[in-house]
Amino acid sequence: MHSTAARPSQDPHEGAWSAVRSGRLRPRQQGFLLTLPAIIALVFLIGFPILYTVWLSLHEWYGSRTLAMDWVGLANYADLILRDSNFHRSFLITVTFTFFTVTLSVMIGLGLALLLNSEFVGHGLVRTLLMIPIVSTPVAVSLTWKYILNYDGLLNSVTHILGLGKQAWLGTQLVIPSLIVVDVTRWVPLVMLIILAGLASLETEPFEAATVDGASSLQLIRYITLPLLRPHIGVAALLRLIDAIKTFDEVMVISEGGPAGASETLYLYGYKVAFSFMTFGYASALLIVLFLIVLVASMLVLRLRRAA
Amino acid sequence: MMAARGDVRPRHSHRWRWLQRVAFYATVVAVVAPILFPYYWMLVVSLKTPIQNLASPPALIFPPTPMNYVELFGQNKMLQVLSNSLIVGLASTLLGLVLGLPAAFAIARFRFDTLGVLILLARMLPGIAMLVPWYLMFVQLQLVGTHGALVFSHLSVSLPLIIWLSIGFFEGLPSELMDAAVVDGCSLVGYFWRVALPLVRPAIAASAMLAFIYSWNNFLYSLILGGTIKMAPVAAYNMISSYDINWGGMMAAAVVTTWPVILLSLPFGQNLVRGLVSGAVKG
Repeated sequence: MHSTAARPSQDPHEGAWSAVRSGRLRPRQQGFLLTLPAIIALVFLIGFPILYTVWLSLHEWYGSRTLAMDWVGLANYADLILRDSNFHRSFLITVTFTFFTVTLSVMIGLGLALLLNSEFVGHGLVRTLLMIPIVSTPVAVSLTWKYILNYDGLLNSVTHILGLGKQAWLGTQLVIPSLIVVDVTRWVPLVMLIILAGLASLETEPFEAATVDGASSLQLIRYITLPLLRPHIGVAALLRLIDAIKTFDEVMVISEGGPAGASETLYLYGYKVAFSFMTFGYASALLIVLFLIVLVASMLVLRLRRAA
Repeated sequence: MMAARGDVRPRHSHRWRWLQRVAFYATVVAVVAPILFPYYWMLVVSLKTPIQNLASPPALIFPPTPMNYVELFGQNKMLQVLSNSLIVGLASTLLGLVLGLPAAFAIARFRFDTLGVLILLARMLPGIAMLVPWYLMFVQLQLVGTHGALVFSHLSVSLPLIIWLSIGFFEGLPSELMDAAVVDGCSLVGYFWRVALPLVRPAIAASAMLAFIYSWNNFLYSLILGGTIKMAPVAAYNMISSYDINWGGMMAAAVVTTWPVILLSLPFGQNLVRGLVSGAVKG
C-alpha cells in the first residue's frame, strides 16, 4: 500500500513495506500490529470480566450500591463444595445429562455418518436438511418441544391412541430423559457432519487392500474405518461434552430447571443464583467452578486436535 | 459406505438389492424424521386457531388461519423485535469482521500459534462466567437495554468465531502468492487487502453468516442485557409467561424467530458446513 505517497520528498516506495526493508519494522511485528485491535477487544470482552469474576468470588456481595463488599476469602468456594446441597444436586444432574447426551449423540451421529457416506439418490437433500437443527434458534425449537411434551401435547395424544396412557414427560421422573432426547435430536447432525468430514479425509488404500483380501463391509467398518476415525470421533465427543455442560436455552425454556429443581443443571443454577437471587459473590464462585470444568474439557480438545 | 470404493463383491440378486435399498431409505427416514419433525410441527400449530389446537388427536388436514401471525405482528410488535435482532446481529458481525479478519490473517501468516489457541479457548468458555461483570458494568453505566450493550456481548461470541474460522482460510493460501506480491512492491497490509481477502471471500461470507446466526440465536445475553429491547428469542420465550399459554401464537413466534436464519443459511451449503465442522460450539 503506497499510503505514504502523500508525504512529500520521500521515496515513492516509502510505505509500511519499505519500512520493513530498511529494518524499521519487521513483517512479524507488523503482523502483530494487525492482531492488536482484536486482542484488546478480547481482553475487554473476556479477559477482564473473568478476572473480575474471580475477584467477586472472594467476596460476599448482593449487588448493592450502599453495602460494601465483604472479603470472605475462599468461604464461598467452601460453602459451595462442602455444604450447598443444591450445588451437589445440580452437579449430579449435569453429569447425568452430559453423559447420556454425549454418548447417544455421538453413537447415533456416527451411525448416521456411516450410513450416509455413499452416493445415493437424495444424498444432497438429506445433508442439507440436516443442517437445519444446527443453525436453528434453540429457544424456538425448545418451545416446540415444550408443546409436544406438554401433558396435553402431541406426544401424549399419540401414546393415548396407542393405548399406552398419558405420561408426565416433564415430571420429576422423566424430565431429564426428555431433555436428553431433545438435546440429542439437535446435536446428532453436527456430530454426523464432523465424522463425515473425517471420513472424506481418510486414505483409500487400506480400504482397497482389505476389500481385495475379501473383507465384508462390516469388517471394513470394525477393523479399518473406526480405528482410523478415532481422532475425529474424539473431537466430536469432546466438543459435545463442552456444549452439553453449557446447555441453557433448552432447559430454561422447557422446564426452567423444574419441577422442584429436578432438571436444574449447573448452568441454570448459576443463572438463578446470579440473576434471580442477586448473590453475586456466591454466584461468581459457582461460575468460576463451572469455568474451570469447561476449561479442563477444552484443554483436552486442544490436545486431541493436535494429535488428529 | 466405504466399501463403495472398489467394491469387488459378487453381484447380488435383483430382489435382494431392491430390499437393501428399501431398508436403507427406511433407516434414513427413521433417524431423520424425528430430528426434523419440530420444524414442521411449529408451522402446523402456528396456522391453527386455539380451538383447533385443543383437538386431540390433532387434525392433520385443516383450514389454515393467519390469525396468530396477525396478532404477533400487530399486538406483539414482532417487527420491532425482528429489527432489533437484525441490527444487533449485523453490527456484531461487522465489528467481528473488521477486528477479526486482520488478526486472523496475521495469525495464519506468521504462525502466532499461542494466540490461535487462546482464540479457540475463548470460543469454548462458558459465556455466563463473563455475564456477571458485564451486567454490573452496564448497570453502572446505565446501558442495560441498549443496542450497544447487546452488540458488546454478542461480539464476545462473533469475534473469536470469525478469527478461528478465518485462520483456516488464510492458511490455505499458498505462500508463493505472498512472495510474488512482495516482489511487486506490495505492502503487508496491501497484500492482505488486495490479494488475500478477495481470494477467501466466499469462505468469509459463510463464516460471517455463521456469526450472524449465533448472534440471532443468542438467548442468555439478550435476556439479561436486553432490558426493554426485546430480541427475537427473548420475545418468543416471553410468550410462555402469559397467564394462559396460547400455543398457536407461541409457535408463530417460534417460526418467525427460527425460519429466517434457517432459510438464510441453506444457500451457503458446504461452505457453512465447513465452518460448523471446524469451530462450532456454543458461546
